[in-house]
Amino acid sequence: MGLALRDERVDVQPEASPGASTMALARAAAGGDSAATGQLLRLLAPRLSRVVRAVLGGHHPDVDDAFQQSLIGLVQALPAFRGDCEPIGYATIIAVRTALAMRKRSRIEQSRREDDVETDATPEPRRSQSDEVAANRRKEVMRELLDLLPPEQSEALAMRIVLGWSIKEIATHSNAPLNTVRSRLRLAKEALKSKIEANADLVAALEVTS
Amino acid sequence: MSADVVSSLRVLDLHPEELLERDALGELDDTERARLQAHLDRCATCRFERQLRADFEDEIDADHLPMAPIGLVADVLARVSGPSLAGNTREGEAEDESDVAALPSPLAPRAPRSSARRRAVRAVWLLSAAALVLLAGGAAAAIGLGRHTSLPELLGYAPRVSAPAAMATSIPAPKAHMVTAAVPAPIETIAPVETPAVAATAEAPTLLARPHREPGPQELFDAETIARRHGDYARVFALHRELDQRFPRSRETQVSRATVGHLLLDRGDPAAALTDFDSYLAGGSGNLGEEAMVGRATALDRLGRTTEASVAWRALVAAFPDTPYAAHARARVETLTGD
Repeated sequence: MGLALRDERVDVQPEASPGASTMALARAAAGGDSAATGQLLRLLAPRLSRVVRAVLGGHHPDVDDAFQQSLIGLVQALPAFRGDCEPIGYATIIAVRTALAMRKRSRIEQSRREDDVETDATPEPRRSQSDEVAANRRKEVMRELLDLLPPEQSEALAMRIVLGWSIKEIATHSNAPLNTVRSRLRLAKEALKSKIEANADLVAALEVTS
Repeated sequence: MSADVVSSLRVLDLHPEELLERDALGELDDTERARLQAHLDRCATCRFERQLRADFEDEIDADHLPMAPIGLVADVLARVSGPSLAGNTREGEAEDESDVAALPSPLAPRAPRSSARRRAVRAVWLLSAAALVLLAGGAAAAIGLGRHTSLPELLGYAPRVSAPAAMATSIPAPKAHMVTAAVPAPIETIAPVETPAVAATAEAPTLLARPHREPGPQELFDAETIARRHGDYARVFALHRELDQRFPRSRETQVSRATVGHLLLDRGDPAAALTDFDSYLAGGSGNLGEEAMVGRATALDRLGRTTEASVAWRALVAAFPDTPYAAHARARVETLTGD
């Protein structure tokens, strides 16, 4: 399914829901209330869709699958939800993990299928004056890096950069000590640094110099 | 240790994460801003991160960005609850015996798995969903649930996902600080993999041994779901038409109307979508009634039938006052009527 198709269908934007009612819905859903579950999915869907698209990239062929698997994953995880955090954070973690897993799997499958194909077959814009093109290029570099990092690091980096979460928020949602999160981020950023520095053209395109 | 070395270590190992966070929130004072800038001048990684955070911020938080993919949500609601919950009552067709109530659903009471027939008619996709539940609960043994052998024929190709061939990828659920007693078990996602040829071969004798019979609504619905996941929309519509013609009042057909309606809407055919939404709503209430009403109003909107669209949006809010689409509905009414 192409991006154009996805973009055509969207002309309905659910309104934001107050946190309290979302929490009430989540608690009811965790208790097995199917109507509440449906309502919760409807409420969280726009956010989860954005998260999945951000992690995977809007053009990724598995965007829809990842989004739907995120919703399914949320349904599966709801019985464990105790209401000690915001449901949106709980759901977002699931979406990030699902999207990261799907990216990695997709990359593996693609490498199996295209062993003989040049890796630069995907057209990537170089040196553009367009901010949007440059931003897309940066995001794609980030997504490629997420494929290569160990899961804990890629998750922490995605939460940090894609979701814009603070270290404390990452620690809270991933149930890891603050210093562990710091360490994961430091390692991930070192990998990011290496990736940038290894590509002179990229450095120029990204307008970053060491 | 020289000052240069210390400086280098700071750049490499001590990225000022807190300053970056507060910078993103616009909370830095002049001194902090100067400290951050001094670091950024030397650290390409943090400059890159800062740019990236701004890039992704637009994608994640902006209100104007992607709207609810309601068709996909409806599809998931149908899947997780199954036609037995998502649909309506149905009349007593012969295929009523196909047990949609046995669909694995985390929202419904777990059905006893005593009936071989129940095990035999489940969709490949839903089987995967069942695996999610069962594996998460440590009941991996239940993976042996079968899939209907006529599915490849219905699909016209090998299913993309099949439980026996599936590769499980562990996606841990959020851990928990929010879970006091039971840490949520890992969610096992069944990776879409091509069904190995050997799997089809192994089933061949069974296929040959069974007398041919027409697929029932459950099989058609399952095949439609899988075809949709493959993006084979021609097949989806063909199976939907067959469902509609042969089993117009089955629960599967009802669910199919809602999900295919949204698919038609997505593909730029609001007229056909409207027909499906009208059919769904004419069949009485169901779990997808809200989605069907949103879809109907959207279809009327796109067809330029403004008066009817306005009525439809109002009806949505009247029927579902708490719908997350209420704001959009009110806005549309206001626009359409000039109120």
